[in-house]
Amino acid sequence: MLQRSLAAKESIKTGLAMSLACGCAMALGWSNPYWACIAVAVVSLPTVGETFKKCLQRLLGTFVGGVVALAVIALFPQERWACIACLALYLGICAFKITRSKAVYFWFLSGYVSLLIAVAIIGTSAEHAFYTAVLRMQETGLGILVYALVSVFLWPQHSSRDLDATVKSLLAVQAKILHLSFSLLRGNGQEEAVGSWLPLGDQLLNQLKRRLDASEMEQFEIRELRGYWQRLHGALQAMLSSMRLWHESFPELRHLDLERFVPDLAQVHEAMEGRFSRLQDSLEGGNLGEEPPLTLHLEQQQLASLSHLERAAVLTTFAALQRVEADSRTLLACLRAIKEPPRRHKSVLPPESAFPEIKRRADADSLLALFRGMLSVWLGSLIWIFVDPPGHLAFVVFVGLFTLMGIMAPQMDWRKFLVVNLIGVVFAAFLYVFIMPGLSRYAGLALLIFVFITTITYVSWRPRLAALRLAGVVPFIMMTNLQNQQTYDFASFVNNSAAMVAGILITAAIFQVPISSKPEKMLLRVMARFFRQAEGYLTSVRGRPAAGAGKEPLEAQWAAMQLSVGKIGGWANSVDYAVLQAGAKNAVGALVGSLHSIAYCFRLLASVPPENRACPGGIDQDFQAWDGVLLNALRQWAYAVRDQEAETRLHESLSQAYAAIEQAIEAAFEAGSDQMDDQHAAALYGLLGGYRGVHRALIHHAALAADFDWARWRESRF
Amino acid sequence: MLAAPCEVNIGGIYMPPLLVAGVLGLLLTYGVAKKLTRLRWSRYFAAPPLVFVALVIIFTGLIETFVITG
Repeated sequence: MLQRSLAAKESIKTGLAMSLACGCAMALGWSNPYWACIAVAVVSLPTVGETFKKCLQRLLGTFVGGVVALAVIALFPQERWACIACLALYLGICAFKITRSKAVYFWFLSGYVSLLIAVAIIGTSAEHAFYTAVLRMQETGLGILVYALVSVFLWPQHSSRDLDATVKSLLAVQAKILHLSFSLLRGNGQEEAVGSWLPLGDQLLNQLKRRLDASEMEQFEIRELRGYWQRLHGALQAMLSSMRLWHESFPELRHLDLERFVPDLAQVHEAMEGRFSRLQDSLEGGNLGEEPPLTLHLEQQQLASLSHLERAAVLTTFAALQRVEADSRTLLACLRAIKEPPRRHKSVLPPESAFPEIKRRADADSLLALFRGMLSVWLGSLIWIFVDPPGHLAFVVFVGLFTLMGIMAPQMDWRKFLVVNLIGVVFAAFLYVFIMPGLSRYAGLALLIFVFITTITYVSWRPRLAALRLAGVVPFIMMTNLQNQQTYDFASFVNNSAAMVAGILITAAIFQVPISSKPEKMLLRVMARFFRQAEGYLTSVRGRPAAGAGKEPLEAQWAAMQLSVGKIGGWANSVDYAVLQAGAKNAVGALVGSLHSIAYCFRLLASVPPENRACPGGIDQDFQAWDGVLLNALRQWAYAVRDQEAETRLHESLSQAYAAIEQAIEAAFEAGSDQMDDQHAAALYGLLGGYRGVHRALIHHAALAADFDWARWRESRF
Repeated sequence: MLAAPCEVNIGGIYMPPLLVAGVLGLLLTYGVAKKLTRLRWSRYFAAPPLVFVALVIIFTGLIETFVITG
């Protein structure tokens, strides 16, 4: 009921804003008032903060795109090939930046507007191009201003109100993960239960980031404490990451009773649950007092009775638990700094550099976006010059626009997009032919715009129907070509519609060049990329320089691996499982889960400080041999064509190698143990625990891969 | 004598024959492609997108030659 009420309010706001924006543009005597309507359609988002953020990006993108277009026109006034080359290069750069930048919408607008303004000069004059650029900015600004005013004064929705709720939900999920993990360690829980809550934590973290960015725009109090809120987000992220690392250490403890070696495990469990309960209560006005570190003891005598492998398992879990406890104290400090006056807490807060934002590196997808962006302008221009399709220059703009949309949403289903746009065109045609000619005053047009837009927005309110909403609204606004002196030319309408449809078809073809963008092909490609990244990460971890030489490259590699896993999950959601074998969806889900596990096991391995990794001779040789086994598996998955037979053989060899290496390393540790002091021994046990975790994760992945129908996934399909 | 393609009259709106033939050819090709995928015959093609384009051209030509005639 609440959702429906919110949908109705937002739909009414969008319809009202669009009617007002169109009316204001017409009253001011501006050409192309439908540009103001498009601005409203695009920036209408649920909360004030999100709207302001998008408005700013739209305005800046329009300005920069206009400046670039005018510069290109000024530099190459009579040289069409140089003009096309520059525009193609700029669109390619915008496409490249879309894949890397946080300001995705800015780059999208910039590329699209540059093309729009540049084609305005064809057959006209430079003054007309300048006039078009200025008019575009005016209309965009008007649309943004009208919607901003409507969203602020009529039923305003604030992201900041949801901020505390999101933090509380995230804390609740982390508390649940903590409880389930402790239950599992104490022999009462189930492995699957913990695993099912971790993705929810990731989703809430992303939601918090978006709400925080939006809230900074709408509320001064949050903007003032921006640094503290960013630290809190970083602390929550670090907490979730530590919980994942802790969870990855559990399988090696299967036959061990951890409470024998950590006697205060039950008290720590209770204390940590109490801490999370106080964290959640603080968001509803409860007090957060100072909390000393929880003391965790290891029973050294009990530990000495274990084999070296079992000792490594216990110490790895223990170190991960200590990290979880430390991160919970950091979380507490960050939340206290927000809820209580910050001046008193500056000294206990971690610096902002403790949670660095890792910049996204360019990968193969970024370069592909650059290529496709450039290809779209060249192909559109060549078709316009030599074929002169319906819509003429509008065709070039449509191809560029849809290419940028496809790069923003890589999993775009072009068939559904075409069908939805065709439905939008049919609706628009009905209104254009039968309703609009009967309107004599603006009141009638305003009512038509209000009813149509409100209905479309209400029906397609859910986020996954956003494409349907745009496809219903944009054809109506663009094809009807609302003007002050309205004329009706059905031939022009059909020509523009045909240009739009042809643009979609050409863009769908562009996304098959040079490699197919079908979800199942992209999934396999990105999976191979993940294993190449894992290979690079392992070699960096083993060969990395001593402390002080900078850890950013390793962090950037880790971020790239996580991004790849995220992309694989995205592609997995877009696959048409109807054309694959039964159970394919679950099989892919399990594979993606195993990739997460591999990534975090590598992270656990890398957590041992490099200065503590020098090994006595025999142990070092065994670790190097272990490196060889792991790298061999990673390289096979990265570079070889995968099939069930090869995967089965790899699974068997990995399992056999695991057993052999465990025996050898146990003996090496036994022989070298008296050469190590306590600190060095703890680090080496951490390394041993890390290697076992990675190997176990690779064996699990190999087992899943052996049952996966790779050939069916690689088949050519339409 | 070959029958020449002429404009297609739909409810008083005159469409160029290539447009109608192209739309019908596209729809027919989509249906054929979907069927080929379901039967897993598409795996015998090295480049299905190119096959799709070729089928569109073939079906458009056939429709315009034999269906849309004067």
